[in-house]
Amino acid sequence: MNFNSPEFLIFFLIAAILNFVVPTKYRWIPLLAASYYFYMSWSAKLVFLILFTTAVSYASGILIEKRPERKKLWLALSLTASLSVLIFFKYYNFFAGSVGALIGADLTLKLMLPVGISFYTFQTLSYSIDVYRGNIPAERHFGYYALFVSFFPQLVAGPIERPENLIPQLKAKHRFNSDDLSAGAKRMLAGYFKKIVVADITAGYVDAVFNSPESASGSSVPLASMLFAVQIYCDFSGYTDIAIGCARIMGYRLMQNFDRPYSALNIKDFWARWHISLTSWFRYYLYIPLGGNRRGRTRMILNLFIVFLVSGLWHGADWTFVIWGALHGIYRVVGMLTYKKREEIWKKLGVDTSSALMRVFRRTVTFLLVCFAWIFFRANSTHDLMILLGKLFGSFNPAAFVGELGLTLTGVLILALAYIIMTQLDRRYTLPEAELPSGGAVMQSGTALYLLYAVIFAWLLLKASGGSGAFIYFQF
Amino acid sequence: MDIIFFEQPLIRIAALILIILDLVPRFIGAHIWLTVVNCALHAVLLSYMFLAGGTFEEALLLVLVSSALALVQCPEPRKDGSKK
Repeated sequence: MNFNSPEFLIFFLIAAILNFVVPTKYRWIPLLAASYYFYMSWSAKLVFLILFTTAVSYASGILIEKRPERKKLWLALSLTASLSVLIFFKYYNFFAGSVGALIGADLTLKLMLPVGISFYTFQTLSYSIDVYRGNIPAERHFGYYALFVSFFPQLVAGPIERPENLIPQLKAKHRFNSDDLSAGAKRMLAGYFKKIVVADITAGYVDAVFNSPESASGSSVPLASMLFAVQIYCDFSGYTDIAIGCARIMGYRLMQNFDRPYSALNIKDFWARWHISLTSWFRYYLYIPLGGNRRGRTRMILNLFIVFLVSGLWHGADWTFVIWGALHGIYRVVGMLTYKKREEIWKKLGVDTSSALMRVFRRTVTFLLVCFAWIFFRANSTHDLMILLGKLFGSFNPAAFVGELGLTLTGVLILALAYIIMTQLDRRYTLPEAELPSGGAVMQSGTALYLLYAVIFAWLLLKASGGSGAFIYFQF
Repeated sequence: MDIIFFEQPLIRIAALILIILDLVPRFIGAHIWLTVVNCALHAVLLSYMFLAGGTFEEALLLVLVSSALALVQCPEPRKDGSKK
């Protein structure tokens, strides 16, 4: 049941009504049933995995509190159980395939990748670590804990919620609120626009290059990677907007996951704006425990690099994702090491680095670096990646830039307008300050209606052309 | 390159009127009657476009123009949460 399917809207309507009519004390029951129903609509056979991970982390949380003298053991048990499931189902075939290729044997198994496994596993890990550190008390009510792990708006692709933010909200009383309805509906509409009008229409042009790299020329690779940058942002942030909007209508506030990442001034800034819930997860639960920046410069560089490698692997079990993570690690480390030198050079040249022109320059350079890295992320395999890179550096012909993607004048106009509207929606309806009832811009009924028309026509257009419409991050 | 979208003169004129109507609130302010008339005209034009053999792409392009014009006229929230 995709967020962009009519079935989801009916499902959500029923879930939202139950959320308000069932007494607070028993509200977790219909919400948990709805969340499991939602998950089982994806992979009914694998529901026992989420149940297993939930039960083990729940039990270990209580044991950490009840038997503090052996809390390390309970934490290790919880982390091992959760990570074993993740590693086996997501990474076994990757490692077995890599080893098998070396020894000339097929060691892979026919495994189904459970939807959203990386997201809910990280959520249970953060719970266990927080209880171990004494940051939060262990949750005694299994129903609320299971709902925290499986809450349907953010179950399959985040935001990766923290227990101290979500669990108290699940227990709190929520009354129907017209401000929440208005803000949530606006957010959902912005999300549907980004996903259906921008991401799904852009996907057609991107796939034309990345799914058949042999027939693409060097001129289309950079444009396709820039279009993919737009596609993946609108796909993932669109999903997040729908998730946050759904939760908001029901009275729950999920954390922000994006803050206009392509306006970042450098790679560090980019990661502070992109997939914020994952970046902050890695900072609190991996980078700082590894020593962060407290153990000298060399160790800090190593820690940063480890975090980016793990982040790459988190995104997908393929060498392309590992290289993508490593590339961002290199960007980050080189950026840090050369920072002072670059500032000196700018100073010697008499350039004001805070001027508007320099900000445009820095944004452009950051965007191009990110786009280059997206080629690694989007390539279907390392074989395809080599072809794409060979063409990118080998036969660049700016004259053929647009034609090879099959872009028509109508297509260009649609993309340009959709992109302008998307940036305006981001400025008005999806920023943290717009979460406040008094802070959101007024969306006039006419504007909402036009956006709705656009979503419907784009959806019909994609249906007519056989587009899949699946969210990219669901595979992670 | 494809295109000549909106090939029929009647559709071109109607689309032009709609775009002008989208711009009117910028000068005289947003009025509910203007929104109602505008939305009704959009519905009529889109229906006519489909009956006259128009495509989803053309319809999408028209509503995107209207969306963009309508959106840029909405006040933008400031960082402190108040409106401009």
